[in-house]
This record gives sequence, structure tokens and C-alpha cells, in this order.
Amino acid sequence: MTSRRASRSFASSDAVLMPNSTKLRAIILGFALVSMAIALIACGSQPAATPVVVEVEKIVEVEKPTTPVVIEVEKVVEVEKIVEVEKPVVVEKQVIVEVEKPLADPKTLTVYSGRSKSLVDPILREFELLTGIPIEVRYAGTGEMAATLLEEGDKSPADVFFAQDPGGLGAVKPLFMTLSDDIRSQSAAWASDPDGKWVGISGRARVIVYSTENVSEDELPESIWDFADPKWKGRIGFPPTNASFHVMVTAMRLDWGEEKTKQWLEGVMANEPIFYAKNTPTVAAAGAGEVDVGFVNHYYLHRFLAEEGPEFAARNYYTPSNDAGSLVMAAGAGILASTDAQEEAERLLKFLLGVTAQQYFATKTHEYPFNPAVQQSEYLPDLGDIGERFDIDLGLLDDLAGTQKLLQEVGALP
Amino acid sequence: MIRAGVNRPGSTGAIQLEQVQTRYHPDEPPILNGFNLEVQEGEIVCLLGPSGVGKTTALRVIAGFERVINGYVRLGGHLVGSPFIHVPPHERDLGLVFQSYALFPHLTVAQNVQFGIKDATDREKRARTLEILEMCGISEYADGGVHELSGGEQQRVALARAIAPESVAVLLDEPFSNLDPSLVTQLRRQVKEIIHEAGKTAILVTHDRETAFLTSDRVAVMRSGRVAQIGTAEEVYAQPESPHVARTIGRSSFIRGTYRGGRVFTEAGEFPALAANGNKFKDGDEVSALMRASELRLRLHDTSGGEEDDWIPQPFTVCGDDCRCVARIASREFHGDFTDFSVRLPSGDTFRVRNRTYAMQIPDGAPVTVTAVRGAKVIVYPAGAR
Amino acid sequence: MRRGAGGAPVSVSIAAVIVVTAALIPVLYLFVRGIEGGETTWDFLTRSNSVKVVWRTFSVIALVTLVSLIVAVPSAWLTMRSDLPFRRVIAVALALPLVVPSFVLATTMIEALGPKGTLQEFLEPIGVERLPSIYGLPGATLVLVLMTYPYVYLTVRGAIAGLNPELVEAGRNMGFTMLGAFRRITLPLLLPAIGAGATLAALYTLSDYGGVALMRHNTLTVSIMTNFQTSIDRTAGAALSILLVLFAMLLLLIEAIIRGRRRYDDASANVGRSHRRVHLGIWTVPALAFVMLPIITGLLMPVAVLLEWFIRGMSRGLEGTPILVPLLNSLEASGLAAVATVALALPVAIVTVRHNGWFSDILEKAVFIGFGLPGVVVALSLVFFAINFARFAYQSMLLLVFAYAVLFLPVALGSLRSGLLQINPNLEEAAQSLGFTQFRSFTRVTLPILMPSVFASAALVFLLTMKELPATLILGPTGFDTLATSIWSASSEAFFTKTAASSLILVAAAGIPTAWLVLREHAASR
Repeated sequence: MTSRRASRSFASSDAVLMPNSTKLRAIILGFALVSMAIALIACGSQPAATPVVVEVEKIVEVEKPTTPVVIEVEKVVEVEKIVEVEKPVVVEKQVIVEVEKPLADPKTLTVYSGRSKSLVDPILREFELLTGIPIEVRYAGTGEMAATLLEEGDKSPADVFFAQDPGGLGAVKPLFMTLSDDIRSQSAAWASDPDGKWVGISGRARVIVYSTENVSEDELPESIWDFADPKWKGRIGFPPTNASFHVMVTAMRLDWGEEKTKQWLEGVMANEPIFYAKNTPTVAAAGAGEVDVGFVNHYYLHRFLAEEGPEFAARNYYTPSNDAGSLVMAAGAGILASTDAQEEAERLLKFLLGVTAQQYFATKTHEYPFNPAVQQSEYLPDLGDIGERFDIDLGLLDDLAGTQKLLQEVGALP
Repeated sequence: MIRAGVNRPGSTGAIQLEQVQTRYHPDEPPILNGFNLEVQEGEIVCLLGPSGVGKTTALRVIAGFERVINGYVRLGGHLVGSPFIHVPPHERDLGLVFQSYALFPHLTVAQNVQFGIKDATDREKRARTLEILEMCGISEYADGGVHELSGGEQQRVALARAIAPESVAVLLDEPFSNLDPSLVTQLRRQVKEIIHEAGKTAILVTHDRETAFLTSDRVAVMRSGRVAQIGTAEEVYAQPESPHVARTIGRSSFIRGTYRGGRVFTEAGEFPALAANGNKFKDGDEVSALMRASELRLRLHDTSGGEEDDWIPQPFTVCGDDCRCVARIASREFHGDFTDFSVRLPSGDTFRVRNRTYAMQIPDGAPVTVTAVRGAKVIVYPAGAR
Repeated sequence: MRRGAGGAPVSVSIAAVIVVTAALIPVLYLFVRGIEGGETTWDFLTRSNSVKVVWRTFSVIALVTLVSLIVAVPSAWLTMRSDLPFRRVIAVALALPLVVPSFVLATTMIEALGPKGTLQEFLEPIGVERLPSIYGLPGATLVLVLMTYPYVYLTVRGAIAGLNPELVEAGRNMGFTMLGAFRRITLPLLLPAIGAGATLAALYTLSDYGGVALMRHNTLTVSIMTNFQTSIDRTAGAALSILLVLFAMLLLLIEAIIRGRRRYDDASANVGRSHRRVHLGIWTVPALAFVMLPIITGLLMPVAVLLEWFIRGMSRGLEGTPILVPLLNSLEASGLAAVATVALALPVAIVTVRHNGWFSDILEKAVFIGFGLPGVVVALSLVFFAINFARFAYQSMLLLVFAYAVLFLPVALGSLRSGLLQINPNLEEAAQSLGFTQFRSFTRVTLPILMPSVFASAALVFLLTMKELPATLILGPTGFDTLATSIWSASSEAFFTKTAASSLILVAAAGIPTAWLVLREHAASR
């Protein structure tokens, strides 16, 4: 009996050698299928990231027959402007009417933003709402974004690069297309690329932020040059990695020359400054009295004032001398030559230079508008013609690499 | 009845290993080398040997967990292992009982037993499981977790799990080594009965000679990666092939002697000799004599004769003129029913002699006369054999 | 007696090799970049500045590892083996600093302990104008110790749970005092776990950016991040990253030398006997103070600061950053990362546990290098890889999840390995002998038993992914905001009050799996 049982079970085991390997193959195939399924789920959860899915969305739009093709939207922005005239306060109402026509069949715009989300997201969403052009934005530092664009080259998914400063824009200049005249004419010529590859969107001034607890305004010098003086030892803070700071140093190099700029940097470094990661913590440190002065852009202070109220113990100081310390820079944007949504991209640039967006930059982020129809924030000092303040063509400030090398030499950058 | 298969002429053998060689690492010496073993259907064979001799490896080769680099492994006449063919373990239809039992902790007792039953409806599986649980006397624990069981119960679950599928054979690795000694005696008999009742062929690995003798139909004594001797317990005991085998199957001591006319002359006296393993000796050959405690007796040398002795003095044990009779008691182990005396010879050789307890009165250091019990012969090997 | 060495099927070995190779893509990229850079790379590596950076990195790693051990080992022992009051709650709380992202911890610490921080305000009446600066090595050490000691704490707890109490009793029986028994018996037995935890702590310190950057201690990782963020030429960053990889290898080598050929699997397993707890007596109060210190600074203080910010924001009517969508995104990314990482770690765990020898050693070490790499290095190399070789995956969840897997593979591996080591390999062999293929034996027997470890390692990966930042920023699909990225982008603009609610939710969401992990072990050791 046992013998029968044994031979029966072994009749099968003779033939099993082959099926075993097919079983193995089936298992591997199963593994592959499962991992592919995971991959599909992963992709599917973010459909917009793959171009294929975008096309599907397009078809859906076309098949909607009931949608009216063109709607005219009137955007009325009411702005209160306080003008100080002697004693009585006169409130003047400025009404701006702007018309945006939605595109019939818009492509999704991908914007790489070197400016932070809190600053530009509201106005980009506004654009999306008014034009019906869907926008996707990646946020990162301007330098990081520029490097990413260089890495991506002509395979970049980006259509528009919105940068914090001319340096970042200059670095990717070869990747930009030349902009049309009607875009360029809307911005200030001094704040744009002379070759028409990018345009300035909004202006920001370099300032000295100072702790009102530790320093009085009278103590502050005429020129930023004077901060190389040993009397400022241990009292200075700035973000050496910040792109705007780099642009300022680039301007110094153009204005003062390499030698003098290096001399200034070495002087400041000898004063053992405190390094911050960004402009904001520098301003926060001045407000907390950790440092007496900081080299920053002007608008950060106003956000602290908005958040913490007027008791925030720091104020901006605009150096009166006409040198790199009083530079007014531009945040700007350009369109990537590899874009597949040129029309939409151009609409965005025009919108950003238009009255609505410029009004936003003036009142919400406290920057200097470039559109002459828009007035600057009441909190900002009137700098006169900001383009004349320190007369330099921002398009020339693109030698970021040279500046970074210099900063490495003096030990400000690792 | 079951052992009828053993002697069936022309049988191919349920398990057959031929000149098997295997090793864990190319740089190391082989664990098995020239290993031969043939197990008939329905037979229980025990692999006996000290640890490190390759017993467990042999079991793992049969089960398919180790590959052979030389030789052949056949199960039920089918080649399952050779340098070129390796049938994986799950296709070998063998049941394994691990030393650690390896019960599945996430399953109940019944689920453990049912685990390997295949090609049956659920009802058939359940019926088979119940039958096996019954057979192994563990049906009351069927729905319990395996952690709740005692060692002996876990042991039986492991056995039940191994015999539940329609397997060719059951392999047991040191099945009783983790158990309380008082349980082992009873369990050995139970395991043997269960395996025979289930009609299984079995190979059992153990380092314990008692387990080997009591559980198996045949004992295979292993020595450095091969089988040194195989036979029934009685056969192997009666004629151990070598001093090594003799030591493996029982406590044994060897003393030097000279062979002359069917006898061996030693410092301890003169004994009838048996040449094991087909050895032939000439008069005057130097031999090594196996002194088994249970086949020897001693008495105080100078006393006039055994008044209460239960042994009958043999003429040849009388001390002659040339006998210096200086065997002395070195130490003793009192066992109750008997006492083992350690006897030291002038050359420094020692051996043990088992006596009834009355001999307790002989003091340590006393000169003694050693004789063989009636009918017993001292097994001799060529001098220097190991 | 030797057991067979060939424990893992070929298919699993192949899978493990593929996983490890894929995990090494970033390292490969760095060397390609470095070689492309040629002279620039060399110049950068040999600058005097690099030496300083290396020294700073080394000093902070040494200090953090040492202090982490001093904090973690007694804490683990006190919560497992003493009659410390409230030890269940304390046991969980001690692990929770793990869930606070390092940039949140550092920001709140600056707010509380900065020269003009909350503590100074309290001390103002007694004439303290300004506290000594916490910036630099002390601040960085403080933040990183709080970030890393939980790694040591959790691994050591695991080891204590597996310790046979009879060993200590045997030691005390031989005339050792309680402390003597701890030093002579418990400590040596825990040494492998302590070593493993210390390695994790050191590697984490090597890779941390947010904490050290905010504390202004320029380590290698900060230098790399700064370079990647500011510089358009990435050669310098790659050069520094190569230095970092060498650093990580050195740390692993040191651990290997210290550990020697000892393996974890000595486990004279805990036989399920309950442990008698050591009575602390008059030591109760000092012990409580000792364990409360890291809880207060690493958990209660940041949460208190966040709550203060939250209330301040509410009272001013400021809108917080959005919560729901980032939370869902965080949960989705972390969930996928947990599943994928554990699935990828499983074959590697099997091979490294079931094989002894150089093959598994190499696999294990190679995987651990990933943990020492900063997220930014892994992310950027994957950007490069995807643009050139896998365009379809660029800026997709697939690539992001893969990056998480590369970063957290070692963490998942650790827990899976210790789980597998406790499973008798005979179990799988028993199933095979009962007619199941090796694969089916694994799924039917080993996997169900391994499930607690699988969940534990998934939970760890989940919570680490919740707070991961650089890889999410760089690789995430466009517009994909997680809690961590939205907190970071708002807090880097100093909108601290806006981040409060999101930060609190992040801490809570990551805290749940952590609490579960600790409680599970607590239950197991009782």
C-alpha cells in the first residue's frame, strides 16, 4: 500500500522540474505586474505632470459644446490711496478697468518661480481665474531654479521663468526666446534685458534694515561702503547666499571695480557679520535686536509690520548715495524657447505688467511698480525716478558666477 | 509485518543515497563524503553519531535543502539529487520534523497539521487532519495555538504535520533532544508506533544511542561524513565494525593485549577473544581489546573465593605465575542496581567493570581480579585501529 | 551545528541586487559629475575651506552621537526596566521628537532660547539683557541631539525587549551590583543595537540641513545645499557631495570595525518571561528629571511655541497656510512611500539575513550610504537621471516615491531585518517539505509572522516621509504641496504664525504611527 502511494506521488515529481521554472517565471511576471500597477497609480495621482494626460483634458474641453466661446470680464479694482497734503487727509479713489478675454482652448502654463509662493501665488491664481488658462507653479530659490532649467535644457516642462533678480534671468538667457515689442514696451527699459530676452516686472530697493532699539537713524552712514569700518564689528547681519545680495555685489563690481569691491567685502567680513539663510530671518533678527543692521531688500520689513504691528522694532534705511547700496533691482520674467504654450505665456507676461498685477505688487508686496499708471505703496518713501537712483542697466548684472567666485574667495560663501 | 518490505528481493528502496558528497563552502572540507544509505519502505532507520559528523546534513540532503556535488539521491527509485539534477524540497514529498519543531506560530494546531495536505476537498482535508490528530493523541488541542502546548505535545504536532500529507517518508532531526528525559522513554515508543501505523518510511537523526536502539529498525552509525556500519541494533552491538563504532553505541574502553590461540592476554588477565569485522589474527599479534563494563565482573584478588558470588569462576581467570595481578580499583559510580568500577592497570590504561552492588565493600585501591561473564567474549581489533 | 547558508532563492537575490543598484544611482551620478568637473572638482576638494567644513562636520557628528547615546541609552533602560512612574506616557513622549521636522525644531528653539528669545524675556526682570548665542556648534548640537536620540532610543528599546532577563539575574547572582550587572552584562549585549542606533544618528547628522542651517553651523550638507541653491554651476556641489559620500562610508566602516564580526542574531530569545522591574527608590526624581529634559526641549517647547504662534495668528485674524490639500498630499506621498520602500526593502532584508558573507555585507552597506546622503543630493541626481533616461517619470509621483525609497531604505531594512532574524528559518523549510514552493512558503508562513515588523518599518518610513523636505521640493509634481513644503515655504518667509496650524497637524499626523510603534514594543515586552 505504501509503495503505491509513494510511486504515485513521484510520478508527478518527475515532471516537475520544468513546470517549476515556469512557476518562477509566473511569479516574476506577477511581481512586474504589481510594480507596474503601483507605478500607474503613482502616475495617475498626479495626471497633470505627464503630457499625455494633459491632452486628454484638452479633448474634454473641446467636447463641451455649451461653453460660450468668449466672455468679457470686467475687472474693477478699487484702491484707496492716502495722499498727505498738509493737515487734512484727502482720500482719492482710483478706479482701474481692465479687460481679459479668456482663451478658447488654453494650454496649461507651467511657471518656474524663483519668487516665493506667498508673494506671487495670489496674483497667478487671479490670472488663472480671469483668463481660464490653467497654471502650475514650481517654487524654489531663483539660483536653484536657474540651475534646474540649465539641467533640463530644451526638455524643460517650464514655459515661463519668473525670477527674483536679474542674475538668475541672465544665467538662463540662452534658453529664453526674444520677447515681442508690445511686452517689452510695457516694462521699464532700464529694468529689462537689452536683447529683449526678459523683462522686469517689479522693482525692489536694496536697503539697510536697522534695529530701532540699538541704532538711531542718525548713526547710519551715507553709503554702504562705510560698513567696512571696524566700528560696525559684530553688528552686521546679511544672507550671503541670497541672490539679491549677489546682484548688489555684481553692481558693485561694475561700479567700483573688482579691487574696491573685494576690499569692501573683506572689510565687512573682518567685522564678523552674522550670516542668515535668507532676507526674512535677517529682518527678524534686526527686529529682535540680534543685529544692529542688515543688508536686505526693502519689502520684507513691510510684511513684518503687517504681521506683528508697528511695535516691530526695525525700520528700513535707504542710503542716500548713488551707488550699489542704493540699487533698485527688478524681479523679472522670460519665456522659455522650448515652450509649447507661447500664446498663453505672452498673455501672462502682459498680465503681470498690466494694471491689475502691478497694483497688486504695489499694494500687497510693497514693491515698486513699473507701470506708470500705478502708484506705489503709501508706506514706501518716494525715491523719485527709481531708474535714475543708481543709473545702471540691470541687463548687465548677469555675471552671477563671477560674483559667487569672489564671495567664495573672501569666505562669504562656502 | 511492516518489516516484510525490508527483505523483499529486488526492492529499489524508498530512500537511496549513493556516494553522496556535499559541502557548505568550496574552501571547506566536504561535510558528507562517500555517504551511502539505503532505506526500505516502511522501515525506520536511525542515523547515529556525535555532533558534527554530518547527520543533520545528510537529512537536509535527502530533504533537498542541500545540493550534492557528487553522487546520487533517489526517492522511491526516482533520481532527485545529483550534481546536475536537483528536485526542490517542495517536490520531494517528504515530511520533516525539525529539532526546534518549527511549528507555525500564526496557525492553530489543526491548521498546522492540515497545512501540507493537498489535492483534496476541504472536507477530506479536515477528515484527514482529525484522523492524524487522533492517531497522535493530540485531538483535544486541535483549535488551540501552538504556544500553549508542552514540549512533548509540540513534538507530536510536528510529527502529525509531517505524516499528514501523502509523503514518501518522514525525516526526524533529533526529535527528543529538547524534551524532559522522563517524557522521552514514553514518546520514543509512541513515535515508533505512530510512524508504523501511518505506514511511513522514516529516517531519524540522533546522537543518543538509546533513542537509536529503541526507535529504529536499523541503526546507521556515522563517522566523518559517511555511514560506518548499518544493521539492526543487535547486529551492530554484537560486532561493532571499528573501535569508533563501538564507542558510539556504548561506553567502551580499550586496553592493549596480545592475541594467542583465540584468546587475548592483557594486563587485566586473559579473555576469550572475538575478531570483529572479519579480521584475522595470528598468534602474537598486538591487539586492542574492547572492555565492555556490563560483560565483565571483578572480585578482590586475595580472597579465597566467591562465597556470595553469582558468577562462576572460569579456569582461565585464575591468576598464573606470570600474572602480577595489579589491577586496582581507581574509582566507582554508584547507580543503585549496580555499581561501575573504574579499574586502573599498571600501564595507566583504565576500563570499567559493572558489578552488583554487593561488591561495594571492596575498597578503592584494592587489587582485583577481572573476569568475563559466562559466554561473553572480548572483541579485539588490530592494535592502533580507531 | 551549521545550517545551510543558501537561504534566499536566486530571484530574490536578483531583486535585491536591482534594488541596491537603483539606490546607488545618486552616488553614481555624483561621481560622473565630479569626473566631468575635472580640475574644478579637485580645486574645490583641496581648498582650505573644505578642510574647515570637514572639521565642523566631524565635530558636530562626534558630539551629537555622543550626547545622543548619553540621553538615549539610560532613557530606554529606564522606560523598559525600571519602575519609573508614568513610564508608558514617557516612553511614547521620548520617541516623539522624531516627528518634529528639524527646521521647525530649530526655528522654535531660536524663538525660545535665542539671545532675545522667550527665555530671555522671562529673565529680563533679573537683569539678563541678552542670552549667550545658541548659534553655531552648541545650537546645532542641541537641535540634532533632539532629532537623533530617538533613533538610538528606539533601537536600544528593541534590543532590551529581546534580552533574556535570566542573563542579568545570572550576573547579579554572581555578585555584581545592579550597575555592575548593567555594565558587565546588559551593556555588552546591547552594544550591537547601540552601535546601529549611533550609526543612524551619525548618518542623520551628516544629512540634516534645516537644523544646522538655521543654527548657522556650516556642515558639509549646508555647504552642498548652499551651493545647489545659489550656484549655477553644480560641479562644486557635486564635489562636496563626493566628500560627503566618503564621509558616510567612513562612518559605516567605523561601525563595522567596532561591531567586528558580531552579528545581531545571537538572540537567546526572550522566553516570554515577565521582567521584574528595578526599583528606583530615591533615584526616581533624578531619573524623571533626566527623561523629562529631552521631552521638554524636544517636544513640549516646540509645541508650546507653535501653539503660541497659532494663538497669536488667530488673534490677529491672520489666515494660516492651507491645510487640507497639503495634508492629503502628505498622507498620499507618505503612504505610497511606506508601501514602496517596504516592498523594495524586503528582498534586500531576506538576502542580508539569510546569506552570510561579503555579498550581503556589500548590499547592506551600500543601502546605508543612501541614508547619509542629504535629500537634496538624492533629489538632484534623480532629476538628472530622469531628464536623461526616464523623461516620463520626471516630476511625477513615481520618481518622488522612488527618491523616498532610496532615502529611507536603510530604516525600513533595519526593522525588517530584526523581524526576520527572529523567525526560525526551519519554519520556511518545514513549509517547503510540506510541498510549498520557496516563494509560497514565504508568503504563507514567513510573511504573516513578519507582518508586525512590516508594519513597524512602514510606520517609520511613513513618519520620515511626512517631514521630508528637500526631495519633496525638488522632485514633487508641479504644484504638489505637502505639509512640510508649505510649512517650509511660509516659514522661510518668516510667516511663522501662518505655519503654526500646519506644523501642529504635521506633528500630530506623524506622531500617531510613532506612538503606535512604541506602544507595540511596550506591550511586547510586558
